[in-house]
Amino acid sequence: MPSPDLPATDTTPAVRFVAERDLLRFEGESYPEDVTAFYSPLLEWLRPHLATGRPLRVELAFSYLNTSSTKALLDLLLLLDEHHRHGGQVTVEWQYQANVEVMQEAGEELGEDLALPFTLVPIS
Amino acid sequence: MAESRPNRQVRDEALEKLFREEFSALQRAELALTKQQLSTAVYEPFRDMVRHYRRLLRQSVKITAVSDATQLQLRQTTRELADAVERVQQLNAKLVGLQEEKDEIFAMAVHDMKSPLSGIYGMASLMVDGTINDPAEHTQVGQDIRTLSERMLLMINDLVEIYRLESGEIEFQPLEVMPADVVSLLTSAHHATARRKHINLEFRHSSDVESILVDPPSVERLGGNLISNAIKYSPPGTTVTIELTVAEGQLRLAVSDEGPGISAADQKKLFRKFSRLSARPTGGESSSGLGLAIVKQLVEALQGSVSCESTLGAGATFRVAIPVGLPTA
Repeated sequence: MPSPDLPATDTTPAVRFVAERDLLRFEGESYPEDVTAFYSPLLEWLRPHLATGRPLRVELAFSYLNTSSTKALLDLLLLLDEHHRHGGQVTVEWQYQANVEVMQEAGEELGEDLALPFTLVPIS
Repeated sequence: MAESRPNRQVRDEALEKLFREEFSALQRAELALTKQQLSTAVYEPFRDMVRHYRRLLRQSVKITAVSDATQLQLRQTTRELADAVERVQQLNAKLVGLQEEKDEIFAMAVHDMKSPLSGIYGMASLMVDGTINDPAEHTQVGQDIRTLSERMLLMINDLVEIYRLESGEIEFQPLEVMPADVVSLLTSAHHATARRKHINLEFRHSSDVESILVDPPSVERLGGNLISNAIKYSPPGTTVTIELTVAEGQLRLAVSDEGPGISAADQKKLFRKFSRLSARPTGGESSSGLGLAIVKQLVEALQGSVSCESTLGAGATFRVAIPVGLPTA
């Protein structure tokens, strides 16, 4: 499966994997009608990619997430956390607009139960 | 906005898929419970847990569905609100611009009226304080006062007209007229002025129909402004040509003069209110600086177009085209 390189749409974020930086970045809004149709292929790409043993840095720069997207994202984070627990090198950065408190709280909630390195980065 | 049924079905199916792993874990647990011979002490609490997990899972799906729908509505409302705010901001900027323009026009109108008014005041004072006693001088000063008052009246009338046009207060009443009537409507008022300035007026007209529906006062105002301008800026001994064509549902009027022409820089500001252009009237006529602005506003109100072609030193041609109706047979 090719690496993700999806442009943002009205209801889905841009998702791009930058191989030379081992970076997977999500950016934008997420409230697709069929959330599984959007996130499942990403998980399908992620599983074998993690199995290669390459380090991975994930940047989550969402400006808006609906509830089902949050569930899909939690599944993705659990997969990454599982990888980390098995010795995989993975870090997650939650980037949010400094003045949007609700996105800061969302990041705190999402990262709470994870063992992997999870940092919150306010963007001004 | 209410969600339609097919969308809701798609959404429910999508959510079932989202919780696919949890549902399949539940299914495996239920199957295991039925296949294993467990003691009541173990079976009953696990059976209750499976029942509660199933309920919790269904509730999670429903809560997600309700939450997604609410958030979507909120998203749409937020966007509509942002659009509305943007529209208000644009409107506000436009209003500020209009206010500034009105202030500027007010300042220019005051400036332009102050000069004739001072003249009138000065001349009236000379008559009142007895400086001028000679009846012949009285008549001359009276005539000057009348000329200056006319200039002010012209400006006030033009100002009133342009504001009426801008506020959309003017209603057009199309009447059935023959193109030849339009020609005489346009020419009758200008023969005397042209003769006084030794300017030759030439008229041409052609039409593909016998009669048209137009608002005569508007056509008179449009054509009148263009013709009087052409006469005003033409040197003696030259010709002003007025060409009226009615074709393809349009009335087209072209007014050409052999005057000094209009520079490219002046052409850009030609139709603005109170534009100060280089050309000066050749017979000492007055100008409100609003005539062409009125033409433009009027043409736009009539959904037509106006343009100017000119080369400095080689005269100018103003063209107006307005849609006209045709009388029903």
